[in-house]
Order: sequence, then structure tokens, then C-alpha cells
Amino acid sequence: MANFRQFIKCQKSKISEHELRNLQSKFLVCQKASLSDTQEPPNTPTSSTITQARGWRFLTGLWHQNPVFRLILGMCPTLAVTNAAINGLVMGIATLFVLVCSGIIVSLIRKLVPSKVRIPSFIVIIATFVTIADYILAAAVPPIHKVLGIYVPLIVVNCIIMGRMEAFASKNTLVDSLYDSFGMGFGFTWGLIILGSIRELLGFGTVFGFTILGSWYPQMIIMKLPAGAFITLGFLIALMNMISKKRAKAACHTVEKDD
Amino acid sequence: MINLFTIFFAAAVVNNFVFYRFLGICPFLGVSRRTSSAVGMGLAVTFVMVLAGSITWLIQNIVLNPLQLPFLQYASFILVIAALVQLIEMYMKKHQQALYKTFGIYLPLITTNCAILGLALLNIVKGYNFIEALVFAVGGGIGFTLALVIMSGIREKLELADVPQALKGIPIALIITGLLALAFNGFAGMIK
Repeated sequence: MANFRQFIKCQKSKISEHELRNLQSKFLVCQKASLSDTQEPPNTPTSSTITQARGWRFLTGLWHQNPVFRLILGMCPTLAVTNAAINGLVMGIATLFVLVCSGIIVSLIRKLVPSKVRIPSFIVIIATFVTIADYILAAAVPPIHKVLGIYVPLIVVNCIIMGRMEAFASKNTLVDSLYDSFGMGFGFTWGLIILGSIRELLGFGTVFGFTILGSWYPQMIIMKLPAGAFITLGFLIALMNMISKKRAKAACHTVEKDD
Repeated sequence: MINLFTIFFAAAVVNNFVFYRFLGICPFLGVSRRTSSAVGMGLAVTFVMVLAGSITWLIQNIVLNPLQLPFLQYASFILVIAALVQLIEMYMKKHQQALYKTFGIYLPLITTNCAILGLALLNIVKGYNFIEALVFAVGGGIGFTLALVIMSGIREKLELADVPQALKGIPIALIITGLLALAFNGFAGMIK
């Protein structure tokens, strides 16, 4: 949320390199703030604290910085493929695969790549794994691959992946970035499954193809239409805001004040 | 001619990029606070869409298809789009100062806009010829601008409205987008 707001502010004024750097540092501050918000990651690197910090990193992606509900990144696939729970699941796993594989490569080559060409090289790495994922899906689950259509290749421009590569994998070790990738990937997947399940339940009366609501249920056509995706996600984010209102406030206020 | 008009109208209104295809949601939510910036962003996206759409079409049909390299499609498309946006920005900064001030500042944000890559891929999936691809790109860009301008108009008014705390910001914007999508759904069936 915070990086998003800063982003918009940045667009209003002219974007200079200096401002961009400023923005980046502010984003990091916000991340730290949200990390230290509930639990301070310990400073002394004993083995138990390292495991704790890694576990924390994993949980962060699942809940605290959930890509779907908190960071609001990667909206195109989130909204487009969630008319059924199974589509959300497949899309989530494909994204998880790309996220983990490119995280591994990026964190391994982080010292070899000059910083000026890092973005294009990340793009090539991500696009390679998206192509692999696309071919795997086409072979393994052809009907779902057909339904997902152009949204599989569009994983390339999913901001979550590029964001995690730039913000985390390119600065951390392999194991740390694995925890981060898995956390973000699973966070994205469960977000998609929740959204897909709600839309499928209200739209067709089924979840993952199993009939939940009987034939008496008048199917809500709006949930099958694009409009249903926007409205459901809007209410889900509002719900998440209500659940963890205080945390989000504390995390983002500190950044906005010194603007 | 009728065919071209159909493609244009379908891309701009019936299958609107934002409301129907869910492409370009990030900039749609990010830059739709002020009408002036919405127009700037919309024009920049249209411009890049037309250029990127035609160049990726040429790459697909002149390089990838004859050489049978379909697996390089995603990597080459996204790299070409990124390079193209960089090039346009550099050229504008140097030679077209006035233009750069109006919408050059939005260019860096466009590289990772899924509407551009989505348009390039849709051109190939739908098997358009070059002229059709161009018309589709213009229609898509205008549709995106239309969505952005409508949304910015609503959000300017929304700032004065009394919205519940939890719904403030993105959630209410998403719900309004849903209602707009419902309205645009009224066009469905006009074009098959």
C-alpha cells in the first residue's frame, strides 16, 4: 500500500533519479516498519534466530504483506482467472513456480550481474521460466491452460515477481530468498483460491467443482462477469483492512509523515 | 472497412481492456486520481501500444514464425517493449521537450504495464494482419484512456464523499470499477 501511494505521488511530480532512489529507501523503511511492527527480528545471528527470521519472512508473505490483499500487486491475473477456484489454484502454482525458480537464479547470480543491466537480465530470467511454465501447463492440464489463455504469459509482467527479485532476491542469499519466494508465492496462491472459491460459490454454487449449494440456489450471474471480480476483491481487501487496521496504519504512517 | 471498425469498437468499448480483459489494472488504480494525469497516462499508453503492437507483430511474422522459434515469443516481446519504451523516453527527452513534459513522465511506468504485452499477445492469438493489428492497438489504447478518464472523474468526486474507513482507497476504487464494468457489460452482444 505504502509503496503504491508513494508511487502515485512520484508520478504527480517529475520523476528524477534522485526521487526514485528516495522512493526506494522509503519503501524499505516501510517494509522495516511493518516487520518490526509486531515482532522485532533479533539482531544477533545465532542459528536459532536465523531460522526464526526466515520463518518470519515466510509468514510475512502469507499474511502481513500478502501480495493480493496487502501489497495489491499482480492485479491482472488475480482478477482475470478467478471465476473458478481451480483456475486460481493453477495460476497461483504457476506464479509460485516462476517466483521460486527465478528467485534461485537471481540470488545465485546477484554478484555477477552489473547493477545497470540487472533489470533486463531479471526480465529474461523471468520470461524463460514463464515459457517453461506455459509449456508444462499446456502439457499437463490442457483445458485449464486454454481457459487461462494469455494470462499465463502475462506472469512475465506480474509486479510481484519483478518486485521480489529487485527488492529481495538480488540482495540476499539463496536460502533467504527461497523462504521469501515461497512465502510470497503461497500468499498469492491462497489469495487467488479464496477469491476464486467465493466467486465460484456465489456464481455457480460449487467450489472446486463440488456442489455446495443445491439446485435451489439461483446462480448470481454478476459473479461470473468481470464486475464480480472487482467487487469481490474490493470487499475482501476492505475485510483485510478491518482485521489488521492498526498494523497497516503504523507501517505506513511513519513513511507518509516525513514526506 | 466494416471489419476494421468492428475491431476498433470491440477493443475500445465492448471488450474494454480494463473492464473486460483486466489488463492494466495497476496504472488504472494508480493514475486515476486526477483527470489531467489520467489523460496524459492514457495518451502515453496508446502511443506505446501502437508502436509496440506493430513492432511485435513484425517480429512474430518476420523472425519468429519463419525460423520456428515460438518459445522465444515471451522473452523477445517483453525485451523489445522494454527497449522501445526506453528509446522513446530518451528521444523525447532530447528532441521533444514539450511532449516529454506532458506524458514522458509516464513512460517508465509503462514497461511493466500488462496492457502492452497483453495487446502484443492478443494480436498474435487472434491472427490479425498488420492493418488489423494497428487498428486493434489504437482501439485498445483509446479504450484504456476512456476507462482512466471516467474513473478519474469519479475519484475526484469521491474524495469529498464519506467512505467507511476500511473501504477507503483501493477497495472503494475496485468496487466502483466493478460497477463501471457492469455498465460496460451493457455493450456486450453488440459485437460478436
